[in-house]
Amino acid sequence: MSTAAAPARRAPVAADDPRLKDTWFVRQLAALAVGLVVLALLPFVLSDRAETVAVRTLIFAVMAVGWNLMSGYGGMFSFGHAAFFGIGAYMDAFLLTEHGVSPWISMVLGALLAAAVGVLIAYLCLRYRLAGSYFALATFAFAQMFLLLVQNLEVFHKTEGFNVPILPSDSWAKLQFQQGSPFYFWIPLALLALGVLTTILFARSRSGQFVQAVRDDETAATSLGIPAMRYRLLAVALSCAFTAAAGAYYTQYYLFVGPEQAFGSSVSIEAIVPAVIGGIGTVWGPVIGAAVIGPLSELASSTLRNPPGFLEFLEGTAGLDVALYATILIAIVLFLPKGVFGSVRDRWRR
Amino acid sequence: MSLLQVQGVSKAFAGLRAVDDVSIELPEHEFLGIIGPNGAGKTTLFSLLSGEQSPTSGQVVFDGQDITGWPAHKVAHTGLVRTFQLMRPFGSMTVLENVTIAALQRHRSRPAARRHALEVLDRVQLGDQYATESGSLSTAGLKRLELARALALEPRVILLDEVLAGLVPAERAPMIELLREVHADGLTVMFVEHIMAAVMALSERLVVMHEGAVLMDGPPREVVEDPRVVEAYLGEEPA
Repeated sequence: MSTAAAPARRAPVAADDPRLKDTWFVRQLAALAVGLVVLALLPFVLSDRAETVAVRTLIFAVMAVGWNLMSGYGGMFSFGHAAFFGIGAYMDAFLLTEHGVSPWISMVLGALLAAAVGVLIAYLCLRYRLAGSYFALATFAFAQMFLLLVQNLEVFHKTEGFNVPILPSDSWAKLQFQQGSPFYFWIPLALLALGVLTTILFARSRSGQFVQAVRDDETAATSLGIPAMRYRLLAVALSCAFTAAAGAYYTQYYLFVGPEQAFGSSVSIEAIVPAVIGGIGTVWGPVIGAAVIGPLSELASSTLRNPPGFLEFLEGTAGLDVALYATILIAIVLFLPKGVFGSVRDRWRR
Repeated sequence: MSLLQVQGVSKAFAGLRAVDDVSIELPEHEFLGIIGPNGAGKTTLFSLLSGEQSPTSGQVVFDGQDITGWPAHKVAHTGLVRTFQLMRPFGSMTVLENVTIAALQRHRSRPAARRHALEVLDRVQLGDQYATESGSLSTAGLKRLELARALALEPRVILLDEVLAGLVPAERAPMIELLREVHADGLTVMFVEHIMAAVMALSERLVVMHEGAVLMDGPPREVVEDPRVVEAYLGEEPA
């Protein structure tokens, strides 16, 4: 590979050329640090019930941050992230209840397995040139296959799922604390911070830049020497790993997981919706979207449990949350196509 | 030995031979023009050379190495780089980020790649638009961006697919000058072009393609005056 024939008549650019100044990285890290400190204080002011909603929101956020790495930055729209969330949730439940393995270890193992499965699925889809809605449909089909598989395998207790035995005292190794303990909030917050940090680092890394180039124009990226498949699969692996970690934490927090909670199609939707609302392919979009959707989904389910007079006919029904997501999605797509964060950022720049 | 050797390359699509037994030698430092009516197979030939498509038969040899059927990203790393007639910017990125993508192939570190990218942008006179969203560049800007990305890879041979198409006449002269400069700096160029003024100004040798095959190959003056070439172009005024 000779570079001797390179154009030599370039005027050199000084290392301190003002055009090279790039504060993006520092600003993102600062925002992350500030956000982390502020959110870490929340358990001291929130009621127990509000903290439950906050934890649910954090789980949403970790899933969405994961989804965003593959589908936002990588441009491969996954409609089947339930597969990876489920792998994480079931790896934890199975290893803990059957073999007494620490959830921390299961979380890592689940993340690794989900990354491997995700890479295999994505490889097959890309290898056979599935793109756009066909890619999304294929990922959905895989997630449904996992759902059916789990529902029918005795080793996974079929449709009954797993109950995590409640311990008499706090245990870091088994990730169990007294109800209402701030650790139940801080641990998913740490996962989220790790997810956002990964996104920030990835977005500006060599690999992350290549993935975005491939997303924008695969032919052009390839002609510039980028092996598209390799970098795409890297984004997929990262994405699936974080989504699986969210799943493992789900099992630990609710102390129960069944096929629908882990592999149901509503889980896939819950990974997508926050990212779309907040802004696909942005660092903060999924986090902001989750902050909108988490409390709203709680509001929807409490409304169904205890509807006010004029909504009495809704009592005991299910699915209001999904209807609500759909309504918000339509509004977002119509009025803020780049999501809340994406649209505000673009306005700011002008 | 020529730097790039195209040996009897053909590409058939469902019976249609888009490129038919084409052989072209490209010696180092040459500026080779390729002309021909629409549908003559020029862009398909570029796709075969750059690895986007594999030839049905024939061989592509670059710098003594048989690269026939290599994937496009691998071909780009050998130093054989193409641009696209329809510009393909990375729409979510600024002008500088677009070129940095290419520069990252030559520099491991991002700061070094950005600096190199900026030098290339200055070179193609896009340096002051470094922060523009690439999608909002004018056609002339996008053409320069295509060229800048390719140059940032520090290629040995560059395949230019109609870099002047879509430019108004006033924008052509500076582009022709720029191409002359990068060539003078040591780059080997093969370019497809319809604008004959540019073809005649830049080409050291001219190949005419017609219905997938090479119709003529020789010094530009002789080639354009050949009756067969004139006939191939009938009804399609060589502008």
